[in-house]
Amino acid sequence: MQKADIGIVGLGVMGRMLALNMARNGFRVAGYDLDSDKVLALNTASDGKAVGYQILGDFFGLLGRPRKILMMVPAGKPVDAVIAGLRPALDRGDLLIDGGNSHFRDTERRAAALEVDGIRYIGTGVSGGEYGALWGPSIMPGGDPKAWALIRPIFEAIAAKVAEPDGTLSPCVAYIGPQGAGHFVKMVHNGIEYGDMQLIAETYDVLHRGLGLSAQQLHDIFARWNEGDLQSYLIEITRDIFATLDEETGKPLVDVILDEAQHKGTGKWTSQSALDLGAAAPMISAAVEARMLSSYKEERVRASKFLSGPQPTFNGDVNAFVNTMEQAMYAAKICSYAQGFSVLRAASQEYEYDLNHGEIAKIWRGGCIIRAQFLNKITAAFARDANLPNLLLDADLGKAVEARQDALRRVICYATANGIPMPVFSSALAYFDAYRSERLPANLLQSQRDYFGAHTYRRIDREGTFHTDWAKIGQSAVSHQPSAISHQ
Amino acid sequence: MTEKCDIGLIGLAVMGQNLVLNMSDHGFKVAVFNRTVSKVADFINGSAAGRTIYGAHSIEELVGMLESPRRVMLLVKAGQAVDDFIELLIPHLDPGDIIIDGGNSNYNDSIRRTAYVESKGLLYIGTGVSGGEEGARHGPSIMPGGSPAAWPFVKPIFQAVSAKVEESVPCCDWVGENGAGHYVKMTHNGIEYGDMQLICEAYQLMKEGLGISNEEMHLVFAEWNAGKLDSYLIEITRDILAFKDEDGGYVLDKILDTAGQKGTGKWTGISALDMGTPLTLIVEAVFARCLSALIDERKAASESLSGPTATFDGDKDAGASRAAFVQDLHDALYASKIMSYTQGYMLLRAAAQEYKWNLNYGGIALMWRGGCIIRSVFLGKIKEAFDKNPGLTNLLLDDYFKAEVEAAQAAWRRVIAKAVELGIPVPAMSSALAFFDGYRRARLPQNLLQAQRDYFGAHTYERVDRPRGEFFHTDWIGSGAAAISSTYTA
Repeated sequence: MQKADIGIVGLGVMGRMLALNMARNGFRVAGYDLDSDKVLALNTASDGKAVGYQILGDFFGLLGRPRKILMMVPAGKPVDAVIAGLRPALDRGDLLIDGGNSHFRDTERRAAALEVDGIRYIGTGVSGGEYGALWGPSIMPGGDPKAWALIRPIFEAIAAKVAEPDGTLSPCVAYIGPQGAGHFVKMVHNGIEYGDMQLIAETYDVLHRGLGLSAQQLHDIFARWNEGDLQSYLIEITRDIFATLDEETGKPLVDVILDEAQHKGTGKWTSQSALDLGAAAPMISAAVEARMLSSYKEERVRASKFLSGPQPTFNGDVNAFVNTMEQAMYAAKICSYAQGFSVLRAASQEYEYDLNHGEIAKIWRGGCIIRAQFLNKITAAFARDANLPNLLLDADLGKAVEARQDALRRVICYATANGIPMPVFSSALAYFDAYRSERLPANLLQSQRDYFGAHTYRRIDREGTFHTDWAKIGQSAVSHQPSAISHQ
Repeated sequence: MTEKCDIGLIGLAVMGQNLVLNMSDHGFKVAVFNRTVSKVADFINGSAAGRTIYGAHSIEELVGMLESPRRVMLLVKAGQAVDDFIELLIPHLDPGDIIIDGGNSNYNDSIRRTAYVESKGLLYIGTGVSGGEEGARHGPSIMPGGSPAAWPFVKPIFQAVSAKVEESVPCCDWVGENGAGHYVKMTHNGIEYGDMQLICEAYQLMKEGLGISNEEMHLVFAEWNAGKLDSYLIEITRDILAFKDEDGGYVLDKILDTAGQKGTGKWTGISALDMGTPLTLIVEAVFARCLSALIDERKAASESLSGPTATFDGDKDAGASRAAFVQDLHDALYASKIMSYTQGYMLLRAAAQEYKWNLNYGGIALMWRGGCIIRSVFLGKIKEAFDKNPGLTNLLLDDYFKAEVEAAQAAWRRVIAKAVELGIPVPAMSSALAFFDGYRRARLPQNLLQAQRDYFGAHTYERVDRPRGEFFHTDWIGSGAAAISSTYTA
């Protein structure tokens, strides 16, 4: 029997879809899974180019050398278990690829452990969900560059394609960098996805609960927005969601879905990495935290009966406000991507990933969950300046936020007055306002730290570090007047 | 020395020296040792001269000077040094002896060390000590956790040297097993980040937004310190605002606006993410420090990006409206502070569940009430809330805090709206309000998020009209997205 071009371990939905995608593109695929139902599911769906096995020996028998094996199993212990199971049968020069959502640190640990035996390792992000896996995902591989050459033809063939202005098709895959760079970039992609989704959720909340718009009206609004600056996969599916009715009740389906969201994994990791790197990504964190708060459902139900706040009302021009909302969301989205890319930049420096930011934006244009025309503007920004420290310093993107800041401010003021939580929109504006502040109040913070902990401070007018004996002023030196601010 | 010492202390940096002096003030006999042995003699012949403080030249000698069960406290740099001294001590100690780590250790290390030291038949305490050098000398807040069997032997010393509130109540009590003490100290530091950021936001609003002078702000903080916001951080801010250089200028105005962020604030944020607790305000405070560090980028951005044109009430009655705004700002700061402590306590609750600690929440408020950086009158109110109801799940569900927040919320909303209009960043205050508005909502928009996740990833969802634990999936693409006709014409 003809040898397979690649093996896939783990034939769940993602593994199966990738196998079928490869087969459709002319590659022969050997699949392996302990679960006979999953093996059967692949063999039923395939025309014979992708064949699943339940016995490891049979699977190995089909692999050509050097062996190329893609693991599609849940992140964490399952990956280690699969590696332990495969390792005795692997030889020097073989290639193992982890296509799951592994933590980049785990990927680096595994790569180092396998390198001892000369086994090559690639950790790759694969985004696009079930549909993307089958028809073209965005793929973010990192690790040994020589190993990348082995898998490149297959990944380029199966990746999503984006049509360039000149008519050529660009595959949404590129070598990301060494070590765990691929999984790091995928993690940040997911963090950005958390931000995008939360911005949409807050917008929905304001328009639905604040302005009282129906699901049908929201469908029309999102359909229109999907033709403009906000055009993207997430806006598109939100449009569709608002148009979907519940068969049982006849209500819009969204209205009968429980309001509790999952928050484990990549979004959380992105926030933790940002904190660790000291790279400000408050919107992503706020998006993760919003999901966390959503999971306090029982407490919220209690609190809703106990704590009072304003009842939302709206007296203005609905159409005008909807347009304001669109501008506000676009401004906030740019701030979110600015934060995501600043995390990538910090990681690139700290971990020596040497990331190509423009290329990353390019491969996110298709296949993945955050795909959008908008990403072209980010690629263009990095084409203008490959070392751009922050997207807000790009003339085009910075001005786009500047021009829409009034909309962003109006929307937040409305939500603030009406008791509608907009944590991520608010965080976006605070980020914009802080980032464009030549002077922030951290001078006071430094004074406080020097006061209680002798941490010292730097001065604006002199080099060096300084310490002041603040307490020596004593209580007596301070005059106490009854009213601090005079009424004049 | 005729009798043996009550406690031994290793690590004679300023914190260590001050704590030893404090112990001797309270009549304890203390044996001391330092890795650089010359420091021992310097200290014994210096500030320790004539006191019940005795120098040792080796670990072995130190251990030999101690009453049984022996109590040896480490005040060395967090990290490897603690592990090194534990290894050096173990061969010289007997079963039941106690090793105490009083540094800023990560709670995960304290969990590990407690198990390790206990496996050697010894007892372990990892304790937070807060209050800086002054606190160590005259009464810190002490937050001990570790082996419960060790506590009775350490309690008399720790409670004697700790800060006192209401004249005699010590700011020190048993926190919980293994890493609980250091966890509570870490959370304290996280809350400290939040408190400091809130004060900075109030300062910037007054300074940049209202154009209030340092002198006037000094008076505002003095007034605030006489009310509900009465606290150490408000007090030192008052002093800082009045402090002038030899040349007559304010020192504050000359300080570079870039703040350090590493260690405990960051750890608190990372841990909260692991616990699934929305610690929104503290995380914003940590990131605000990150942004402050980007001085060059901010300068470039300040030149290329302009802000709003709005200014604070350019109209006639500016003085009166300024005074009213400062009053609003007080309420906004107070309400935001309630949110921050609410979140901090949510974190402690989640950590207690995760690590199986039986935390005494009222006791923790009491420990923070004095001696430490976040000490305040406000913490007395938290103590009261837990005294009233030890099973309180959330501070916002307490009658007192409910009333306080509800009374402040109109002003709080006005302040944030004004900051938003003026273009002054208030990330901590606005994240606090968003948290409040989210927490008091029976229904949040995460139903849409679940729909999206089910759409692209088949993650399934639960329904409001079905029991929990029943999961549904919709084939959204095939469900006929165009099923409803479009009539909205925006």
